[in-house]
Amino acid sequence: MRRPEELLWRFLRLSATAVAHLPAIAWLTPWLLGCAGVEPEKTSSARARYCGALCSRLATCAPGLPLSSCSASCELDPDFERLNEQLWSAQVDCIGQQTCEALATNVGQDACFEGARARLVASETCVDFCFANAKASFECGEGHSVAGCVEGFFCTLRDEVLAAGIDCNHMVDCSARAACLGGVLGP
Amino acid sequence: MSRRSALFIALLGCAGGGADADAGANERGQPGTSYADGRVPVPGCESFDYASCDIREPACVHNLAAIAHCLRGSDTTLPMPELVYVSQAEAERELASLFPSEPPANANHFEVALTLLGLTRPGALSAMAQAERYAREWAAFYSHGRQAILVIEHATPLDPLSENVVLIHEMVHALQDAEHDLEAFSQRYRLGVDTDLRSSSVVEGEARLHERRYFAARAGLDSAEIDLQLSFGNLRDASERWLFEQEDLYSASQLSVPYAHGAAYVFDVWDAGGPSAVRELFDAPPATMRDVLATSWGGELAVLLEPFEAPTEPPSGLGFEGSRGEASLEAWTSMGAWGVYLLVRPKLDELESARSLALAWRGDLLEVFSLPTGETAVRWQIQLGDPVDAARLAELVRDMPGVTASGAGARVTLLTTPP
Repeated sequence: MRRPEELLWRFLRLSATAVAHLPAIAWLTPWLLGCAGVEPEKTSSARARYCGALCSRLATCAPGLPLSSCSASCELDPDFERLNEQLWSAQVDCIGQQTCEALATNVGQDACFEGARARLVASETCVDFCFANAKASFECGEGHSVAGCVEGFFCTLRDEVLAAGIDCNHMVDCSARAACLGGVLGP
Repeated sequence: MSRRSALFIALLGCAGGGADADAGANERGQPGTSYADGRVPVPGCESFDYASCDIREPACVHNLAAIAHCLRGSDTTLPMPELVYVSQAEAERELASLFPSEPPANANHFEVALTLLGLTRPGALSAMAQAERYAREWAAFYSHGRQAILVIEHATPLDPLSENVVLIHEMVHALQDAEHDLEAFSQRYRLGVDTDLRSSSVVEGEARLHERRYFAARAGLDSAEIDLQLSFGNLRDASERWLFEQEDLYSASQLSVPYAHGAAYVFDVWDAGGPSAVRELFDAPPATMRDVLATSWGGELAVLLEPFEAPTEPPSGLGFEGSRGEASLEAWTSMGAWGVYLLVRPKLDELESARSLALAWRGDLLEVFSLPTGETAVRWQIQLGDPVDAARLAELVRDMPGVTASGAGARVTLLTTPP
């Protein structure tokens, strides 16, 4: 039988190529480095529920994984500050249904994220952002479809982030706008 | 022709100015949603379907053709061309047949001349190199000879939105050909580097104008709320940023200037005089690229040009002869204000300084000579607006390796010094 650490290291190694929008990589690192137990600065029911579901499921794959430390580290992930809370709560059931192999390879997290993203209803702020972004993009000589934006990645972001993005799109200088959007929306 | 790579497409726009990658680009918005594609049609062209469609379906092509007619204000009885799907290799062969046949080895003195001036690189202007470049970069092109739109099937296909936009662009070319005979237009107006670029700017500029109007509607934007002049100005600036990152400025100019500066120019004409004013450009195109640039950049239009006489024999006293024997005139052309811009922009930090110097152009003559040794020599005489501009230009090019510059009044003469 594998020791829990072995399984987690394997999990980490396989996760190294995983998509960046999932928080399953970064939060495990401080736990493994002995930083577990740090109280998250911010908690919300959505992130707590997501992290609780993920850690509970991981604990069944790697018996001995300390749940409280796991959840605490999980909740520190910066993506919680950027992404819409509905995304996390919508993944709770899905995470609990994933196999250990799927979680170790991040296939499970990907599937849950995509499923939640597909069900996410665009907020009014996101639709406003997408109109502002399409207009500014067009006037900068590029091109974004409003619908493509609404149905794509942007509406996975929190309204606060998108509101800041709307401000960026009001900038006249296209280089300044691009830099502002890069800073607000992330890579 | 419609480019497929991002330029300004990132820049620069994308294929034909289509959607960029992170917007996603497949089916867009259910009809009726507040953000659906095409929810606000192009004014005056409301009776068409703006939903995404498959250009392999005849109904889709028919609808896009109708939109192209409407955007351009063309006679709806004009025939539309057939669509032919070709591989990149087939497109390359087709395009190679459009360029002059390969010159004898080492005999393309014009290419060598531009290389000596730092404007291109060896081999870039061969028929095969150009055909390969265009087949790689373009998503489609209109063929006058075949009266057809050739859609190039690349390994990575375009998304449906970009395909639709590209087809609108090429259909505008087909309509131009049906109304104005693009072959005759070329023979009449595309007679040298400067006149070729200004003529391309009319042809591609109009296609880009209507393509962008269509794209705005398809993207879910309300044309009444967008600033087209700002859009074309930024498209032009982004195009220039891309261009001056390229090693081969001459070839990059052909790929970008007509679509960016040309579009800004044609938009200005269309905005002031409507479709009929644009149509008149095919009978009376701008005299030179300087007109296109002055309109696009915002410079003085009414200036007195000082065109050079066509050379009839190799001049003497240039220093090419001497120990090397007599030089033979191989080619001559006017490089125009854009040629001056290509020369000075990389040497100046300030964009406006470079544009000002280019707009100071009043005429030029680039002569390419072959020497008995087989080497190539160049004389480029440039007439500027005043001696101050000429002195600035001479100073800028003074340190160019292998080139000497001299000024006399408002004229600067560049001479290459073959090793």
